[in-house]
Amino acid sequence: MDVLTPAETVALALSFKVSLVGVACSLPVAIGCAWLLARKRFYGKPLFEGLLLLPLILPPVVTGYILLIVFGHHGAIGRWLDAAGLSIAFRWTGAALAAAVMAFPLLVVALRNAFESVDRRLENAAATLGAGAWRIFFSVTLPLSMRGLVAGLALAFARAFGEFGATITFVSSIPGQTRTLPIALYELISTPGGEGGALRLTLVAGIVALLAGVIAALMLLRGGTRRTEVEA
Amino acid sequence: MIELDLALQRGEFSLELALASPARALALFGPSGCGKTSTLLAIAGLLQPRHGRIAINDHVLFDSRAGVDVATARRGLGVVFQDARLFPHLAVRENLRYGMPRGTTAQAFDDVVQLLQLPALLKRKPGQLSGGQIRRVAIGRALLRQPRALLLDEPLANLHREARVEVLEHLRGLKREFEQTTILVTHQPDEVMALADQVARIEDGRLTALEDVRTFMASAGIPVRARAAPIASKSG
Amino acid sequence: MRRIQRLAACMMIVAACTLASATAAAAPPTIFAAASLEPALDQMAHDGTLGAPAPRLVYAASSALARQIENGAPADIFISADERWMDDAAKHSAIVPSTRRDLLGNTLVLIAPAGSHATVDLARGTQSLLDALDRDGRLAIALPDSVPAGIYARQSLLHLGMWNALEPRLAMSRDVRAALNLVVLRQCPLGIVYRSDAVSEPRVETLATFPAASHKPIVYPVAIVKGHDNAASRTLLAALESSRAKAVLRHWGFTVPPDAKQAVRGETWDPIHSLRHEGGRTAQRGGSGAGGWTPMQTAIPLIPPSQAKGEDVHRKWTF
Repeated sequence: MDVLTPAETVALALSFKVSLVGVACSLPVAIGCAWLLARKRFYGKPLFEGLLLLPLILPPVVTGYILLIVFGHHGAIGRWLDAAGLSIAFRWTGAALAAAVMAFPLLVVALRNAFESVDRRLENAAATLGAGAWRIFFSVTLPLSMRGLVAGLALAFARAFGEFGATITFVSSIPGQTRTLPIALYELISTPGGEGGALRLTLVAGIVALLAGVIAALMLLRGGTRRTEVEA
Repeated sequence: MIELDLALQRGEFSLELALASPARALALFGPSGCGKTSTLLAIAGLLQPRHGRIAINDHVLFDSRAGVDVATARRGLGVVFQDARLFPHLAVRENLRYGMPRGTTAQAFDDVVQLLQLPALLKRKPGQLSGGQIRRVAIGRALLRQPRALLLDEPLANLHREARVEVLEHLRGLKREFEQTTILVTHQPDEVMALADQVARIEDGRLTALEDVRTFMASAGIPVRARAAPIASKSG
Repeated sequence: MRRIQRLAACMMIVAACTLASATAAAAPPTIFAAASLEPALDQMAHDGTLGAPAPRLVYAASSALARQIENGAPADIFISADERWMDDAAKHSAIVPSTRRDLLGNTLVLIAPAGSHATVDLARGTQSLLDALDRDGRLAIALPDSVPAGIYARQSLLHLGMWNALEPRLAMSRDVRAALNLVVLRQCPLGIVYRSDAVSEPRVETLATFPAASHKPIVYPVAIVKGHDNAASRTLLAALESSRAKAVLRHWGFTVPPDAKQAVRGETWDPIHSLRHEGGRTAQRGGSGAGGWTPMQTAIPLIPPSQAKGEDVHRKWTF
């Protein structure tokens, strides 16, 4: 039984691909930034935090425009990508970058909270047992932040999945490459007679978002993390 | 040889002490708040003294004048914290092995496990252990590090009576088995008696005395002979 | 006591009336207009062509505007970039039908970034465009299912037999100005936009004009929004049709219906007249084949043609 038209199925599959890749690429950067925010003090930290939250605050179209002039053809970074044959302009990889950028702040905030809730005394104990900073992170901090990490990933994925403004501004709409589900949805509601398809896609998007929300809630609400005072 | 010469400020509290102890097991004894735990943390590298020098068995861990401040992870110490700090997401076996140097033989591991009566607990998680069991695992974990010094912070604190007896027995056993440099922080005279060779009395952030344990016991009014007997014995 | 109460009541009524009339006088009329009209209407508002106080101007894609008006958005006048969306608004009883008329027209052009040295000859067929696109360049157009400029672009390309070859090379944007922007930023070597867009943007150059016969006439209907039919709206509508307004529109690259006093120049436009010139096809609009253009299936349409409501071929001309 065909619930979705071929074009809609293509858009849905593309959305999954773009969102998964986007969030996966965003994750290591988000982990690094969240760790810095949670564990280090440095000059200019508030400014750094503000910059990280920028995609959350800027209108998505503005973010898309910035991506366009930096990563598009002839862009500051785009020209090197083009020269290396790794152009992302008008490609699904560009859509993935847009999704990654828009989901990034959510990931950083969730991860930072998760790291901060890990008892530093445990990390100190690990240090006395001979663990260097990397080992402490991977063997103590990260495992103990898993809940927060999964919750953050769920939220980030949902955000990436629903990303529209930055994507269509940066890589426009190209079926099979950049026409993700939200863009297909937009096209349908912009066309008289497209309401049926729009409703179908809305339901799909709604289910994905709901699943993500449930996962996040389960992770965050069950077995609350204990915060204790920082002591050596 | 334990050489401590440090000055430390923590908020309003200031600590200054200097001692050199040839004893293998040194106790830092004093009432709570006197600075003994801070001293221990400074030795471990978790607190930075304002100035001073810390050396154990001729390994310099900290020397402000020479600009030496060895990172905690490289000080080669085994710390048993007052709150044990077992990793809650790892089983007992993984906790024990966490600080073990590469090349530690399975035999060495088993020896410690046997000594602390841990074989039955290896697969359990810290959340499933009793207070005394947790302490034993923490001690084992620190020991398996094969540290150049074992630092014990109030090892019997907050344990109920049976657990105290149990853990103290194990600590005594360790003292007999291993020639392990130990620094013990406590306010309980019986712990001092059971484990220490020399006692540094600390009060209000100052060293008030450095004495042999017999002298300590005498001044505490405890007959020398009692040292050989277990704490829980009825003999007086 | 009674006198004071009556006095207070009178004062409140007077205050309320003053406030009401002040508010009514203070709120300027609002025009919802297609995005491509922005420079022209802004100029008209600025130089007083549209009266004082200058009306509030809201620009967006005609589809978005139509839906908003259908859902009660507070617009007084609606100018759509194509008839479909005005038809849609009429269907939802969102406009006053008797006030509907064609306000202006436009032409479809092929553009390239300024100084690109590209040459394209539409008469020579698809290859000319493919050459200009080179290996992986894309042709920037607005969404061809929903945005008028995109719809016309597709009609033209279909008519010229270029659609199938070019469809996989498209980059489709949210609206025609975004498509224009892609060419301005040199992200795309070619784009299809309105002449009004090309004229106002020095960073692009026009390579070719799509023949008027290759697409449905590009007309921008205007109408007063239902419930807003008042003196202010009617005055504004008249101002939009004045010769001063027409001059501004022509300046910005639009085509305008002839004025009684207007000297006939190359850019005036007579819908019935120009259609008759296309070989008498007006009478046969009902079917394909004899008509000026033949819609063909796109490879993967979002809306199967059987379900699409659009391309209403029966059209009443208001002139």
